[in-house]
Amino acid sequence: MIYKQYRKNVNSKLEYKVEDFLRDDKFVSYALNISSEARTDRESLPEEYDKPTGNAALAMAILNGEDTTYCLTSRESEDLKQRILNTISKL
Amino acid sequence: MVTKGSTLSNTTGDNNNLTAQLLTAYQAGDTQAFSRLYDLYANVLFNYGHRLTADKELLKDCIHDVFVKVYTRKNELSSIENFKSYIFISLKNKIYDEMRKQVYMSGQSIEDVDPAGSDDVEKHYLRAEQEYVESRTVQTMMGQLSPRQREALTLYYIEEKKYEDICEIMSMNYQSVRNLMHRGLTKLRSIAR
Repeated sequence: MIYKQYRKNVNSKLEYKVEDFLRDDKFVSYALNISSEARTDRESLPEEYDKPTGNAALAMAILNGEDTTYCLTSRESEDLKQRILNTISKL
Repeated sequence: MVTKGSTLSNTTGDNNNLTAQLLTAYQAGDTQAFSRLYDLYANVLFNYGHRLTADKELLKDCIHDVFVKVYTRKNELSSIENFKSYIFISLKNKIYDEMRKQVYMSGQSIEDVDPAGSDDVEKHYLRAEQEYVESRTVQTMMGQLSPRQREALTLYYIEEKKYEDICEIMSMNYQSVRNLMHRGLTKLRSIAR
């Protein structure tokens, strides 16, 4: 698992922040691909599978939409959509 | 069914299916499907991007650009292995491109300023501004590195650790650490150009 390489650095003085995980393309792909597996497949993984904790778990929650700390208001979302539609209408 | 303002939920299997359906419909010419893709991903992208930049307007601009890119590359979407990874990584790259432009623009404006004279207070202020811009530049550039590259370079140049110590901290052999640092420095040089 790609994620395990981060867990190996627990003894390092430098701890990975949430942003570090979110900036890492490999972690993003890992988090989104692993989420597409069926629950039963995940549960069948070996016991030593290191389930994400701490900042890695938060990063995964952000990527999967489970964390919704920051949101656009309905108005902002609609305005942004209109902006996009206006732009593409001119292409 | 996707409603306005809805975000990705924990039923990732359902959302993956929905995404695939919307992409197929969109590629077949269903423009409503593009609008529904926006409804599905706008807030989760916003929440993600907000962790990378607190500049809300910049973030909205970048989300705008990502969706325009999705629209213009409609015919290439089927070749993208994972659409979700694609849009998140596109947003991240767009945010950092824009932030890099802003930092460089700030740097130019500082250099263009004529020092007024021999006023120590003003010189000190300008020097502090210059250091702040340089520090932000370094921070932004280091942010472009992978966590492992950043860690290795920080341990060596900032914490002044010896190679043996770095090998032990990072659980890597000597050559791997050297290679990691070389790649990091190469990337920094290419960013700085």
